[in-house]
Amino acid sequence: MRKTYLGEFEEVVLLTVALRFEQAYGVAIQEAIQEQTGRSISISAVHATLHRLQDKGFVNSFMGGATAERGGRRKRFFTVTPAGSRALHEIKEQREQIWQQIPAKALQWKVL
Amino acid sequence: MKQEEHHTPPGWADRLLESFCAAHLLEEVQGDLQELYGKWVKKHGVRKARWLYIMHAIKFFRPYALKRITVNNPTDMFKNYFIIAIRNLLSKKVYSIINIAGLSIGITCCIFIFLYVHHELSYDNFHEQGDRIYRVIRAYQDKDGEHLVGITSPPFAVALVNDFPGIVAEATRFYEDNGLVTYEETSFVEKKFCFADANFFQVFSFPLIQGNPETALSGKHSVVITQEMTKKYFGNEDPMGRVLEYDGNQFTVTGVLRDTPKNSTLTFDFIASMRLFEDRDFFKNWWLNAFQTYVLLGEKVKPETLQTQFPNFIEKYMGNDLREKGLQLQAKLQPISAIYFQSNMEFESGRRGNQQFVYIFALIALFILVIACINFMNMATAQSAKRSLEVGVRKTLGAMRSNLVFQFITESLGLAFISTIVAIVLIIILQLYFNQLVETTFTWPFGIVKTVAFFLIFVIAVGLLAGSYPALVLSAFRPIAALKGKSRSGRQTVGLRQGLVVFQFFISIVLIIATLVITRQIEFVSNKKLGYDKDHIMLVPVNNLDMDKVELFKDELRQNVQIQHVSSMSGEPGGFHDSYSFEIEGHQDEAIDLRTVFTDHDYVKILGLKIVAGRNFSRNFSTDEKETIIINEAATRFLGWQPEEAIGKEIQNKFLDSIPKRVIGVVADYNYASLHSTIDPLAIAIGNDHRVVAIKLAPGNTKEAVAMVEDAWQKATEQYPFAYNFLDQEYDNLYKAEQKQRILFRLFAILAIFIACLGLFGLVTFTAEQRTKEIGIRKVLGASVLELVHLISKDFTRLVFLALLVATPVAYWAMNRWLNNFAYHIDVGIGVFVVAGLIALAIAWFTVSFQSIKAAIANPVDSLRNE
Repeated sequence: MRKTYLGEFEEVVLLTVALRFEQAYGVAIQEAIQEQTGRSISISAVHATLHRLQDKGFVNSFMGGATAERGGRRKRFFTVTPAGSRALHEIKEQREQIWQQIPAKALQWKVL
Repeated sequence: MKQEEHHTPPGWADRLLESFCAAHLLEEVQGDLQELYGKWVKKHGVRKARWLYIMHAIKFFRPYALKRITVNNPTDMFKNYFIIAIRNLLSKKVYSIINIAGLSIGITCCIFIFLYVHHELSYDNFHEQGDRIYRVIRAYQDKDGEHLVGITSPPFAVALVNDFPGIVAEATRFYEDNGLVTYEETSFVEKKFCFADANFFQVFSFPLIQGNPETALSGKHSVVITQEMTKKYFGNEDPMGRVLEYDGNQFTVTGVLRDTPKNSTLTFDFIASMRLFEDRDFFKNWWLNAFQTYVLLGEKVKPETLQTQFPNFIEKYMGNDLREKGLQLQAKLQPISAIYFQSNMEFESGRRGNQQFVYIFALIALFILVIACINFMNMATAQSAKRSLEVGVRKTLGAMRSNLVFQFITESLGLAFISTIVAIVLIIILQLYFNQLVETTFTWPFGIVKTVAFFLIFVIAVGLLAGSYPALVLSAFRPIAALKGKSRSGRQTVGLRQGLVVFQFFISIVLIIATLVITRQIEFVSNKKLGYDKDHIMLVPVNNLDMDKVELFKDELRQNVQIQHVSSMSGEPGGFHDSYSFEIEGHQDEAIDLRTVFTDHDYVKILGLKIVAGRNFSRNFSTDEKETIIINEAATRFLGWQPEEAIGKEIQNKFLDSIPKRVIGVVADYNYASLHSTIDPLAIAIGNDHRVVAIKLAPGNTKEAVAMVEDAWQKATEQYPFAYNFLDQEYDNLYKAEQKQRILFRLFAILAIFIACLGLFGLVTFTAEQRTKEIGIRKVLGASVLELVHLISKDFTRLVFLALLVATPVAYWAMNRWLNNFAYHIDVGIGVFVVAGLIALAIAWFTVSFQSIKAAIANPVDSLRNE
């Protein structure tokens, strides 16, 4: 069976869900991405991606308690599922593997 | 407080979000957006924050977030609507039959008339270059206003092409003739032997089955014939290259045409090459108007471009002649698509239509359909009391109004569907009869896909027209009121129902009045004293027969005792009477036009005309033949003479007479034209342009007399085929259009009133049913049957009276307009309205009485027994 594909943005969102462990909901994730990568993303894109990840089985969600700043509306919190966790680890390992094999000269320029 | 306000984002954006966003996502989405909004307000201020809020809300318009259309198995609901509709139709058989009968008759009518209208509007639309084809017509003014003439002289076409290169791409002429066509041993008199230029088929799209359209008419002695004529003359043999004789000329068949389309104003059986005339003198004569000239404009040339140059064109070729004759003339362009309905053209032949008639027809079709739809509405709303329970229960169980509307519409669509199927069957059965009625064979104009689409659209249109009002009324019931058995809208719908009944009878009565007036006018026309005797006169057309042969034929006839008079003439009464310009003593400076008859000594005698002054032509005066003329009273009045004064006055036909003729007699006015026009001044002269021989038979054995006339004909002419008619029949033919109108109006009147009565019947049945208890109680308390019948029918009587009241002025106005087509007509008297009203009332009473009597004589025990 072909493994479910994880897109680049999806990977970022999934990592952020993990980063904001137990506090990962729409706005928080959006802000975290902004902080970590400098990307400014619309909230609807975040939502769309989260729901896509949920459909793929990489995240789970549950509704939290009501808050005043949201006009009494509840937050939906996301957590990484075992499948999501495996997918992230796998990606990371693959990259490491590739990195180790790259000759130093090939990538001599870096971010300063 | 103020701060708080800033935290509320724009409400409409929220509502927008709610309208499209899926419910299960809405909370988190709105929550996140509001949280962000709070941050935006702090960061950017309220304005920007609101803007951002709106933009971000809109951005949620993504597939994952959209509302799912959640209908729990919609087919179940449809199935339910369908079952309910069928149950309803079956449980109320009487109403269903009334509705279906009415609707299917209405639809049948509508489709037939649609076919007719479609055919009428499609005239000449098959020419591929039709938008560039124009006919050149002449126009002139006189005291009666503008006259338009569709025929022009031969040089027009040539000059147009030469003078306007680029503007006029092609010009082609068409000339209609008739005469004897002979192939070997067989001869027939052909009415549509026509001539056209070689480029005829490059301008018009009449496809050739055999032969080359580009060269078929280029030979001087070529002829192209239709398929029908091929069969008639050559049977199954190949017609190409065979030789036909016509008017002393030999023509070789160079092509076979498909029979002329039924929607073509140009009609022909033979088209011979116009080149036959190219050496004749008249072909260069600008005054010999006998040809239709058509131009094909260059691509993208506007007709105005050519028309504005016409004054110079006329001046160039005819200016001197016109000034000399003191005439004026204009040329105009008439688009080929306008020819069929152009009503004020003179000297037209070929097929012509009546646009007004087409519109009236279409309107009537629509009305009949509306009458049928009204039946449905009436019966549906009448039963609203019964159905209000159903509506109440459905609503209580959670049906939305839209569900109910949908359910009722399904019912009416079902009804429309069944009716349409019945109508299709009716159309197939009645097709023959209809074709006979309008004298054309209609072919269904659409292919299979379009046909299905057409009927589907029809079903939906009828279903919605009939069903939307009841659906809206019924679905509006409030469940509590409905379940309590109170239907509040009862009052309103009664009023509306009555209004609709009035409308139905209004249309029916108008149609009845129209039928009566047309019938009476036709009777008036056929019984009108015409001033001449049209009975027992046989007409034999002599066409192009030599004069000496005509004389021989007449001599042959005179020997027979069964024949009282024989006379030949240029046109019989009701037939052709040419106009000529005369110079008249005492009126020298005026150009006076008189209608003319050219005949022999016996004209006055055979028609039984009355001489009011002077004398008839006589063989005793040898000068009568060349030097005398008889005029009618209208002419004396026109010239300002008493009949006696006219005798001896000199009068000269400017085109034909070399010397003036003397008036020797004045005849009393007789209607030599149709009653559509008044009696114009007329001159009767002895001459030799004779086209018809009139034979007055002694009353008695007509069959024998006809055989005898044919015998004489064969002796005198040898080869000409024999044809005859009777003057009184020809006379009736003048009013054929009116006869047809009468038949159609009668038919429509019957249908309209039949459908209206179906509806009335349904309503009365319903009323009687509803009032069973009331009637029972009244009966127990001593009301008589008559009183009860009166009770039920008085409402409807009132409605019919109201309809009559509304119909009277409308019909009066319309019929007066129609009657103005006749110079001699009846007055629309009160009698017609009384009769129409009585007919409508009688039919309505008859319809109502069925149910009302049934209700009135019913045993009250039955109606009062159970509560």
